[in-house]
Amino acid sequence: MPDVKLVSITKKYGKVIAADDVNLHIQDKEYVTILGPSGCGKTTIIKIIAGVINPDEGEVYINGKKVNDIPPEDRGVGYVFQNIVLFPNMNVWDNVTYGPRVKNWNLIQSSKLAREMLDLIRLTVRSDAYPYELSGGMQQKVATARALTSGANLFLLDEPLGALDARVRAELRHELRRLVKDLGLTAFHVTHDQEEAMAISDRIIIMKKGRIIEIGTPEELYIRPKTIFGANFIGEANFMEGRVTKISENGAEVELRGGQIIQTSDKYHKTEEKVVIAVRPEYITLETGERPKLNGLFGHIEKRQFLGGFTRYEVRLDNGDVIAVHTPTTLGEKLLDVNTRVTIHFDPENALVYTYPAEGLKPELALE
Amino acid sequence: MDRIEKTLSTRWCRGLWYALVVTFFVVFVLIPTIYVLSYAITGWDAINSYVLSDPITVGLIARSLLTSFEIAGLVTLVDFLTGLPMAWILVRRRFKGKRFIDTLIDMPLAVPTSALGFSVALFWASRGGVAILFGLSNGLISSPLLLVMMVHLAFSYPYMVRSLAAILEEIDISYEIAARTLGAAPLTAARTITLPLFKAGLVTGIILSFARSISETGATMIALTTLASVEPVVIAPVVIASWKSIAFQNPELASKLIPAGAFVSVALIVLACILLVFVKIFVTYTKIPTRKVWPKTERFLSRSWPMQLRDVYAYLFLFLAIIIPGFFIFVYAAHGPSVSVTSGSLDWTQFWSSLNASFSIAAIATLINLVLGMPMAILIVKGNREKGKMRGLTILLDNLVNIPMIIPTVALGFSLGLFWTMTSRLYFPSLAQNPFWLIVLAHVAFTYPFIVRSVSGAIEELDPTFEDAAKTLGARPLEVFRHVILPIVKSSILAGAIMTFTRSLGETGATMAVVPQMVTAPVYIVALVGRVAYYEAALACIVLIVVSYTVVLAIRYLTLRVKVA
Amino acid sequence: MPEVKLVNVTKRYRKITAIDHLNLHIQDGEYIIILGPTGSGKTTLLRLIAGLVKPDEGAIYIGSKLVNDLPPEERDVGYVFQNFALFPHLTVWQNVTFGPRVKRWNRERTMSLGWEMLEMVRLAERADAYPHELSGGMQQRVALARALTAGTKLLLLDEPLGALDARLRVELRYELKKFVNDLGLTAIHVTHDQEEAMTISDRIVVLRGGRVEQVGSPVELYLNPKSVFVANFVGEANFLEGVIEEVGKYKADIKIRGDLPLSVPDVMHQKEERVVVAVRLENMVLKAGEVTGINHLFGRVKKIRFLGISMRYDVQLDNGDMITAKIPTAHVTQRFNVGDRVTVSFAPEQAVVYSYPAEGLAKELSVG
Repeated sequence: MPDVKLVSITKKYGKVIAADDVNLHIQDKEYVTILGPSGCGKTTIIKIIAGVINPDEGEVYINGKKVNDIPPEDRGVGYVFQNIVLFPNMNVWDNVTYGPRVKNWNLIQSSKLAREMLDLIRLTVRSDAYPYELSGGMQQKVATARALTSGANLFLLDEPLGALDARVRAELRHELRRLVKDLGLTAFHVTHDQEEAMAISDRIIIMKKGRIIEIGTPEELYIRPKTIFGANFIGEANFMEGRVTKISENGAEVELRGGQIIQTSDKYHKTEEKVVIAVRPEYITLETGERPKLNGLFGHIEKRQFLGGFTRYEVRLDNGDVIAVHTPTTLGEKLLDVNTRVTIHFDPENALVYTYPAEGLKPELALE
Repeated sequence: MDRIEKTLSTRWCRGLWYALVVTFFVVFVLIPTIYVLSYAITGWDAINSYVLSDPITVGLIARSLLTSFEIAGLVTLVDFLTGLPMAWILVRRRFKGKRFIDTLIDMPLAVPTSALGFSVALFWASRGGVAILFGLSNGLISSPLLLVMMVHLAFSYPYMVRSLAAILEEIDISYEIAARTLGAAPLTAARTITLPLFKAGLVTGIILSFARSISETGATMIALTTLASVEPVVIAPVVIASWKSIAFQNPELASKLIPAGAFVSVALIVLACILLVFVKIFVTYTKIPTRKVWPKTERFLSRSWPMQLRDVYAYLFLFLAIIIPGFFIFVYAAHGPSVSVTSGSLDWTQFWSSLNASFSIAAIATLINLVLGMPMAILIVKGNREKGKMRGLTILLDNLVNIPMIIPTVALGFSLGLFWTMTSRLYFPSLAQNPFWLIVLAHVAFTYPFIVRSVSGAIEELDPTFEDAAKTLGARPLEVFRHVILPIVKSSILAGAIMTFTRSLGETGATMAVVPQMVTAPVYIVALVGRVAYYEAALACIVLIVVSYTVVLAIRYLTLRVKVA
Repeated sequence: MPEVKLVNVTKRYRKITAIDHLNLHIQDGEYIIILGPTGSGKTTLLRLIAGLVKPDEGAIYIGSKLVNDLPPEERDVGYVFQNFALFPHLTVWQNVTFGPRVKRWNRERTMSLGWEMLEMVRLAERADAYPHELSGGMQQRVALARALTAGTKLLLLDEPLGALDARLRVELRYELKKFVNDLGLTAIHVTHDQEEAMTISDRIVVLRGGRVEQVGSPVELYLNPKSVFVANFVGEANFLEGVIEEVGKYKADIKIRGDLPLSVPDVMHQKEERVVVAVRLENMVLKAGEVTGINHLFGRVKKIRFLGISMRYDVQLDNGDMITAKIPTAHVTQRFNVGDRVTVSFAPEQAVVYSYPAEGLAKELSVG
C-alpha cells in the first residue's frame, strides 16, 4: 500500500518549466487531487510518478523506494487517461484482462479478479463488446476496471472525466472515489475542475505554472485559503483592494476604495500595508435599503441570475466595485429586482486578508 | 472577377469540370494502361502462334517472370525487416540529427534510379568498388541476381520506410503507454497493441516496394551489364524493353515480338495483381497472435542494450546497403577515366539533350497531373463522405486510380504504346507520330496515382470544421478551396508533386517500352554502361544526381515561400 | 434581427433519427440554450439551422424566409465551433476579417468592424499572432470575434466553452452573454452543461433523442420540470418510487417503499397509480434525531461531502432508499457526522409527482 514522495522534482521543455522544484508527500490510501489550470504542470507530475517521463532533477519514491530508474511497467501503477485509450482491437474482456495476461499471471485467478472489478464498476454491457460500441462513460468505466485489474495499488487518473458530459462527470466521479476507498488504494487524480476536486478528494494540491500554490483539505482550502489564487480558483470570491488603517483587538481595519472601513479578524498584516480582502459570495447578506451597520456597504443591484438552488446578484457598490452575492433560493426570500438599492454585509471572520500581490491583482488571478 | 467566381462555383459548372477530370482519367490513363489486356484477347491467335508454340520463347518468358517475382519478393522482405526498425526510430525517437537521417532516407527517391543503380552496381560488383577493401580482383558480388537485388533494395527501401512511418505516426502513442502502465514491456506493448493497428500501412508498404522492384528496368539493365556473367539472366521488364527496342529497329520482327511483348506484359500485370490482392487479404485477415506473451524474454529484449543493438542494425543497413553504395559514384568518378574502355570524354551535347528531354517530360507530366489529378482527389474525398450509390462509385474510382501505381511500369508503357498506335489508325493520326507526347502520356499515367493519393490523403486528414467555418463566414466552394483547403494541404501537394517529378525523371522502362528511340537521360546512361563507357556514365550520373537534387530543393524552397492568395 | 422557426424538421443518418419531427420557435433577440446529453441531436440541430446539413423533412425559417435550399454561405449566420476551427495559416486579424473579405466588403467597413470586434474581445494587441500561439481562452474569443465580424445578427454556438478549463468556462460564459446582449443579437447556444444553461439563457430547450422534452426559462425548468428526465437533467433531485394511496382535493397521499407515507400536492394522478416523487436536493431539510411530521423520514447519515458552497449529505432511509440533501455551508445551523440518526423532511409544495416512466426509472435517469 504505497505512499508517494516527490523531492525537488524539476522538468523543463525548452524554455517552459513544467515542474519547478516540486515537493510532495502523499500518504498511503489518500485520495489526492492535483488541481490547476491547463499548463500548470499537473499532467507532467503524474506522468513522472508513472515513469512515463523522467524528471530533469529530483527523486520519486514509492513506498520509500526510489523509483527514478524503474520503467513504468515495473512500478505497479494503474493509469487512467483522459482520452480513455481502450485498445480498439480488443473487446472489453481482453482489455480488462490485458494486465494479468501480459505479466503471465495465473489465468484463473486473474479471470476472477477481472470479474470482480467489472462487477465493482457495475458494468452493464457484454464483455465481448468492442470499445467503439460503448458510450463515453461506459468506456471510461472499462478503462478503470482495466487499471484496477492490473493489480496496482497506486492509482493515477489523468483528467479521467474530461471527455465526458457534465452530467456523466458528476455521477462518475463519486464512483471513482468509492472504488478507490473500497479497495484501499492510494489515488492521484489530476483535474482542472474544482468542483470535481472538492467532491472527491481527501486533500487537494493547487498548482500554477509548475509550482505548488497550496495544499489542504477541501474545507481548509475553501474556508481559509492561504493564497489569493487559491481563493479564486476554488469556489468564487469577491476581491476588494484596500489599505490597513488600524489594528484593533479584533483584527485589522481596512480602508477600501472610496473610504469605507471594513473590520476583519486578520492579525497578520500591519498598518499602511496594501492588501486585498476576499469574501465568498455566499457569506454576504443582502438587505433592501440603506442599513448602516458594521461592514455594511451600500450599492444597487446590477444583475440577477437564477442558479437553481441559489440566486446570484451582482451589486454595484457606491465606490464602483462590483460584488457578487449568492442567496439560497429556498429560504423563501422574494427575488430582488435590478436597480434596487441594497446594503451588503459580511462578518469579519469571513473577510480574508491578503498582501497585495507584487505583480498586481489581475496577473495573480489569471487562469492562463 | 466576382462574377467569374460565382459562375464557376455553380453546381452545373462544377459538375462539368468533374466530368472532364474523370473522362481524362479514363481515356488517357486508365484505358491505355490496361489496353494490353484486351489486346491479348483480340490478338490471341498471334500470341498463340508466335509465342506459345515456341518452347524456347515460353521457357524464356517463364524464367524471366519467375526471376522478377523472386527478386521483388526477396527485396520486399528485406525492406520490411530493415525498414520497420528504422520507421520506428524515425517516429518514436527524438534525437539530434534526426532531420538529417530523415532527408538521407529520402535521397534515393530524389535520384533517378539509373544513376543510383549504376552507383550501387559499381560499389558491389566492380573492381574499384568495395572489393578493394577485401583485396579482390573482381567485384565483391559476382551473382547477377544478388546484384540486382542490392540495386533494387536501394530505391525500394525508402518506400517501405515512408509507408510504415506514416501509419506509425497516426497510431496514438498513448496506447503503448497504457499497455506499459498495465505491466507490458515496451516490446510486448508494441507487439500486442501497435502492430495489429498497423496492418494498413504494412499493406501499402509491401505493395509499393514490390511494385517498384518489379517495375525497375533501367537500373536492372545497368546492373546486369556491369556484371558480365556466364549465363544470361533474364528479367521480365528487361525482356519487354529489349523486344520492343528490337522490334522498332527491325520492323520485320515486329509481328513476332509485339505479341510476345504483349504476352509478357499481360502475364506481369495479372500475376502482380493476383499477388497483391492475395497479400492484402492475407495481411488484413491474419490475426497477429496477441494472446501469447513471454514476459521474461520480452522484458529482456526491451532493455537498453538489445534495443541499441536493433538501432545499430537498422542504421548499419541504411548506411552499408543504401547510402554508401548510393553515393559511391562520386568516389568512383574521382578516380578518373582509367576505368573506362572508350575514349573517356562525354559527348556533352547528346547528354544535355537527353537531360533536357527528361526534365521537360517530368515537368510537363507533373503539371498535367497537378491540374487534372487534384480535382480527382477532391472528388474522391467528397464522394467518400456521401452515402449510397455515390459512395460505391467513389470507392470504385478510388481503386481504379491505384491501378497504374501497381502495374509494372514497363508493361504500362508497352500497353500505352499499343493503345496509341491502334487509335492512331482510327482517330488521332498525330499522336502516334509524336513520340514526345506519347512518353509524356505514359509518364502521366504511372505518376497520376501519386498526386491523387498525396492530395486525397492530405484533404482527408483536414478537419472538416475548417470548411464548415469558411462556409458559414460566406465563402463559396471555390473560395473555400482557394483560401482554406489549398494553403493547409500545400505541403502535401508539394510532396506529391516532387515524387511525381522524380519518379518520372528516373523512369527507364516505360520510356523504352513506349518509344524505344527516345533518348532520355536514364536511357542514355544505360546505353553508356552498355558500351562499358563507365567513366562517362559515372559523370553523367553525377550530373543527373546533382541537377535533380537541386531542382527538387529549389521547388521546395520556392513553393514554400509563395503564398496562395 | 431574425427569429428562427423550425417546423416538423426531421434528419436521419442511416438508421438513426437524429432530429425527430422537431418544432421550435425562437424569438428575435433571445439567448436560447439547447441543452441535452451527447447524442440528443443538439449539434445536428445547429448544423441544420446553419445549412451545413439539409433536413430530410420539414421547413426551416430564418426571419420568416424559408431557407431549406439556401447554402450556408448565403444564410448570414455566425457559427462558433467547439474546437474553434481557427484557420491555422492565417493570423488573428486575417481570421477575424475572413468573412468581410470573401464577401467583398469595402476596406473601410472591414477595418472598422474588425477592430471593433477585436477590441470588444480584448485581443487587439494580438492581431498579428497565429492561432497556435494563443491560449485556449484567447482562441475562443478570436473565434467569437470572427463569427461576429461577418456582420451577422444570428449567432450559433456549438459547445463554445467545451474545450476550456472549468474555471475559465465560468468566467467566459458571462462575457459571452454580455457580448451578445450588447450587440443585440439572437443567439442559439448548444451545451450539455446545465449550469451553463441556467446562468446565461433566456430560455432553455431540453433535447432528448432528437425531440424537445421541454422548453422554458431557467426558473420554469427548475421549479416545474415536466418529466423525470428534465427534473434530473436540469439541477439534481431525489426520486422516490411509490403508489398513490388516497386522492384528495389538490393533493395525494403516497406510500413509498417500506410503506412510508408522503403527502404532496397533485391533481394529475389516480388512486393505485405507480408514481415517482421528485424533490430537489436543496429542498431537503435535515434535523437531528427522529422528528415526526408530514413528509418526515428517518434514516442514518452515510456520507458527507464538503462542496464549498454547500454540504452534501447522503442519508440512507430506514426503508433502504437513498436521499441526498444539499445544505448551503453559510447557513448551516447544525453539523452532522457519518452514522448520525437524522430526520429528512421537505415541504409538500417542494415535491413534484410524475407517473412511473414506462421504460423504468433507471433508464429515464441515465445520462450516458
